[in-house]
Amino acid sequence: MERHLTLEAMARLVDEAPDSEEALHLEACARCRHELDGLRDQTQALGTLPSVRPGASPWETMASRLEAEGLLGEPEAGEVKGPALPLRRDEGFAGKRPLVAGSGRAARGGAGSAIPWSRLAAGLLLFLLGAGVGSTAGSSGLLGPGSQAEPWAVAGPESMETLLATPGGLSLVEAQEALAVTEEWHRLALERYREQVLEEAGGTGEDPGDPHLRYALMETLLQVGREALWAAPTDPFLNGLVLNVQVEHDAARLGMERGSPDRIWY
Amino acid sequence: MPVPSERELIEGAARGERAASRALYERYAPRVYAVVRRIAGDDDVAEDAAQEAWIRAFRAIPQFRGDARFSTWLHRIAVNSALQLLRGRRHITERRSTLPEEFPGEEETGPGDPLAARRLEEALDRLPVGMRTVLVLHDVEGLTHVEIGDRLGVQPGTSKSQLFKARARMREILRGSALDPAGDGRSNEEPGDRRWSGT
Repeated sequence: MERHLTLEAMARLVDEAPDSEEALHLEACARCRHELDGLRDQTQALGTLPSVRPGASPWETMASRLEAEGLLGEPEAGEVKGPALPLRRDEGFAGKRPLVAGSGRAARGGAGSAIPWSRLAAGLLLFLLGAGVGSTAGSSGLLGPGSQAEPWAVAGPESMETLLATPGGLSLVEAQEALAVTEEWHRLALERYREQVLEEAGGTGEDPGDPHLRYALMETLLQVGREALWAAPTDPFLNGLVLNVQVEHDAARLGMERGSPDRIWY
Repeated sequence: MPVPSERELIEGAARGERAASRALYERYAPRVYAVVRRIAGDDDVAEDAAQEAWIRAFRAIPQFRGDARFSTWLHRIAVNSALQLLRGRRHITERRSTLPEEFPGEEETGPGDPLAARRLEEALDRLPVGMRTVLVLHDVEGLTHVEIGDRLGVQPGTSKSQLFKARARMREILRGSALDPAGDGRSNEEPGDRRWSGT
């Protein structure tokens, strides 16, 4: 049987000198010399690949992401603000963003400084309440804490931006006040929701409980949030909401995957 | 109007200034994208990884002290972002490469052939993620095994053995060979000695 060096052994010889046995074989074997030359050419070619590559997102897209993170100042004179924050094409990424208070400039007072769950609460319910928010927020206290009203039944894909621009609607000051009130209600409502989720998942505020159940819940919330974003793609609140749901979603998935033997080797 | 230095751009970006941030981004975005794309092996994953890398970089830029070159610092962030993203998405097994089913034969391209770089990039996409990562970091990016070990949290020896496997696998992909169905570069190897095979 004819003996040859394996490709893996020859791949080592691209960087290292052959031992005596290997050297003798290479001297005598044209096939192995050819393979080794091929591996050397391949390695050299990889080293000459261009260090830049087209395909990076345009600045406008990046600027939107940075704005959402509170990492970018207001546009300067003559500069156009970025387009609506695009949804990333696949989940699993936002979970790497630090969420704890004090991490990043946003957490020191930027747009992203709110507690994620509170933003989630406010954003999701603002969407679900849709147009109903504008007409009821400043007056009746219909959906205040402790109310028995069923907010999920009033769903409508309308953004706050559209809502506040409705002719004959609230003045700016009234709208701001209404928004503050509703945000607080929604925050409290979702705080309760969160407690229920944690309770159902067997968790606490410190321990999120069953990651499988949390993942399923977050998956649902993510779908709802994305549907909302299709309807109101420029709404910064919804963009923030979806990113924060994504964070919770990814954290739940990581929790679910932890301990799995099927991991990437490194 | 004088062109701001990189140091000034970094300081401006640390203050959240848009012009400085934009200048840094546009200067380095193709470089960041190149490294994360090669590690990711997938356009969509690469786009997310690149964006995440930049978010991390802009978040951390107030802490950048200039101990290393900005490009080196950014490169490390980019590599880490891509790796962490891939770890989080390890369930993705199907590659979405645009690679055609059949490569042209080895003799059809050569050094200086404009198709050669594309063939290499597409072959990289076909490697398993662990092999691809080490091959990109070592043979494309020029990191040492110690540096790779540091980045990936493995021993330099592990990096080295992955590199040899990756080179062998890459060679097989490029020549369209099915000699090694196991994909480990050791087809028909002799028992007891992984260096030799018999035909």
